[in-house]
Amino acid sequence: MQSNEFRSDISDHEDHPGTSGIWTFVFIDMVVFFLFFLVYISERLRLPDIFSVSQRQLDPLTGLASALFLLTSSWCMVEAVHATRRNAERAVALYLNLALLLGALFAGNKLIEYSDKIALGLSPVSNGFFTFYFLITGLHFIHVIGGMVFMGHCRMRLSTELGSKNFRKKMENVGLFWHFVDVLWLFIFPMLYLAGAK
Amino acid sequence: MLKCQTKPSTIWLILMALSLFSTFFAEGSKHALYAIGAVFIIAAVKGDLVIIHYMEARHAAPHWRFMYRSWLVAMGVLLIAGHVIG
Repeated sequence: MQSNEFRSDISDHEDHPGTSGIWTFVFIDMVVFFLFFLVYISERLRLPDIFSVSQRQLDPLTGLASALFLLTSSWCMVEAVHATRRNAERAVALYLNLALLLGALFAGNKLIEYSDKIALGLSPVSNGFFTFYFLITGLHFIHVIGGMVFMGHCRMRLSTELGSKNFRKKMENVGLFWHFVDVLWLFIFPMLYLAGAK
Repeated sequence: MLKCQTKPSTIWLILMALSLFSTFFAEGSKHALYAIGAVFIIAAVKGDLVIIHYMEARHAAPHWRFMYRSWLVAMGVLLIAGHVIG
């Protein structure tokens, strides 16, 4: 009994989306990416011409397509979380499937882009810009795959766990992570593909 | 100012429109500094929309809302200053 009281004392507030742990985890990840961006900018200041010319080898429309895939996937995830709160199983399944599909389109687009660059002889050791291009987009890509694995897990558990508080929190946590992945691309895209290219 | 209850689909439309605008503005602009300022300010605005409306930070503990929004500001300042100085 004492143990149950203790557990209810430390549980997350019902009204807050997700758990406090996911907010902490995502913020730490944000700070880590901020440091990558900081080092990118410091290197860009040191080698502005190499960075500007190298950026022109990236296709802004490919970056834009990636942004649109992730933004749309993020919207589907919001709808999936809202449907989870209504216990609307078919809607959760539909929106999770769409979010996964759009995540897969992002991943496919990114893999095609990587293979095009490698075919042109561009690699992480080509120059300073491409080191950051492969490092930052690669780390982001790993986050995308991780988010898709979490979404796939929720999709598989949907029919058995829908209606439980645990599943709702799980969906909210996955949603928070997926939106964070989206927010990262909102900065990665203009930084690598748009700003300063000539 | 967008209401807290703004539909996710409305936010999605705004995000899509801003993404298209910033890309074509950056590609078509003859003034590099304006383009740089515009794309990163738009990126921060889009990030704020996602954090407040999609991540539902408006319902999260206030310190998280503050810290996440501070990160957006820090990112915007870093990227604009880094490109303008260079």
